[in-house]
Amino acid sequence: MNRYNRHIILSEIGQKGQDMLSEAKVLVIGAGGLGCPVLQYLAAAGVGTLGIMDFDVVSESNLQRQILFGTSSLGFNKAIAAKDRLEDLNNTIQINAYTKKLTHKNALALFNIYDIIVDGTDNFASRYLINDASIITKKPLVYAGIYKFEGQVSVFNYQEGPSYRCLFPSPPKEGEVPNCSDVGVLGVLPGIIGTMQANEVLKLILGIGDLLSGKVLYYNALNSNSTVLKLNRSVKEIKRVINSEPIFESLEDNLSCEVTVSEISIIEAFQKQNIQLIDVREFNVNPIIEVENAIHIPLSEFQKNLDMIDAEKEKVIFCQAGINSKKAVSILRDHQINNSFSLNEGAFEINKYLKK
Amino acid sequence: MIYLKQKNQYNNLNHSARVITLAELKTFPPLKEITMKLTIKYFGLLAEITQCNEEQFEFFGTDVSALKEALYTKYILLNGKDFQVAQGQVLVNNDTLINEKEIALLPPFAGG
Repeated sequence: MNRYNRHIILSEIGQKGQDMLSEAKVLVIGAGGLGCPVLQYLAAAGVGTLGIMDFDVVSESNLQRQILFGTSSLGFNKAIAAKDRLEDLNNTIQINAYTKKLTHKNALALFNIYDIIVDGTDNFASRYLINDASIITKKPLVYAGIYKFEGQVSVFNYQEGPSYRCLFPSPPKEGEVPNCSDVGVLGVLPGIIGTMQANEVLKLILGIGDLLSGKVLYYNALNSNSTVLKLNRSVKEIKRVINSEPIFESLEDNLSCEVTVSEISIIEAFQKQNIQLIDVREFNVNPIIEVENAIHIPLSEFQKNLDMIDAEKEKVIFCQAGINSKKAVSILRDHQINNSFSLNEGAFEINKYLKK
Repeated sequence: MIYLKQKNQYNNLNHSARVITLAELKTFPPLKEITMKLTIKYFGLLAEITQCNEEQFEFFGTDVSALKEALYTKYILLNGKDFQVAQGQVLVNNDTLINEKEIALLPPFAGG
């Protein structure tokens, strides 16, 4: 087959290796910054069955880095849009799109259909769920995470190797580690890191080279440094996950990102008199918002600074994308501080509105 | 290590078998504090707090948790942040003794 000629003429791959690729089944969770390059290279390489799971839709701010999508995909589900693009790239492979959210209930049955799991998600609840389900179903997990200009890559659960929980036993506190929608990300960074993930998947299927199993790689795009650190398996952490198997499907999904809180639009908010405007973005994030009576408490320090909140006034909380502001409102609600609203829009829209 | 070296220095004086007089003791060089010069690497959010990717750090103490305390004193905002510590490119625990110069502080990354 001419399509895979450049693979087949490599002595390390050959027709035998190419057949292994076409028999492989890989599930990619999250078709975003990481998922797009992973899917693109795995489809091009002829991985026989690709699963794509994403419940989100393509928005304009995704196009800066999520290379499978174009303006024609705006508003479409990412799993479907990615499948459409990849079928054009390679119509000889099987592509399954899953438009639902990954949950404790559906994870195990889905993972069992595939040989390798790839984590391209953007939140810790999903990352721990994927890790635990990979341990229980005994599937190798090709993991990556990114932050602004940096990325980390590893292969977990491969031949009695360590898992994500052996690196970070439990998720960080809510709002402590920001994601791309809060702080931004260099567009090419997930391209580099996602391509490293695709490379690990291909080596895993082909049985060539050395995998990043028992190792975690940190890459910094600003100084091109990469650091590989060794990681040991924690029997205690893995045992704890395996012991949860009988109740795994009934475990509650961490829905803290989706709490329903009172929301308000910019226009409504600025029509109100005597409000306290609260910026919960981390410090040194652009754009700087200068409004009279506005205060700045990063979400990571929100709980410690509740005394700065004016209980008498109506409070309007904003952040970069309207996600952390919701978390702040739910923190206030937990402390019986009412009359607070999460602003629908983010800081950029506020700036635009104020300049009008 | 420095402490041990100095101890050997005293032994070399061949006085180990007899009582040392106070006058003699005063002529011995003072014991230095047990300090180590470490190279510490920071990643992600941690590098933003410390304002550097790498630095030389004088450490007076024994294990990883003592090192963490020393770093929390230098950088108050590190306190409460989630990270793992690697020593000589291997992930270590809080009670691991610091015996290598190369340390890295590794945070988790959420984004994808």
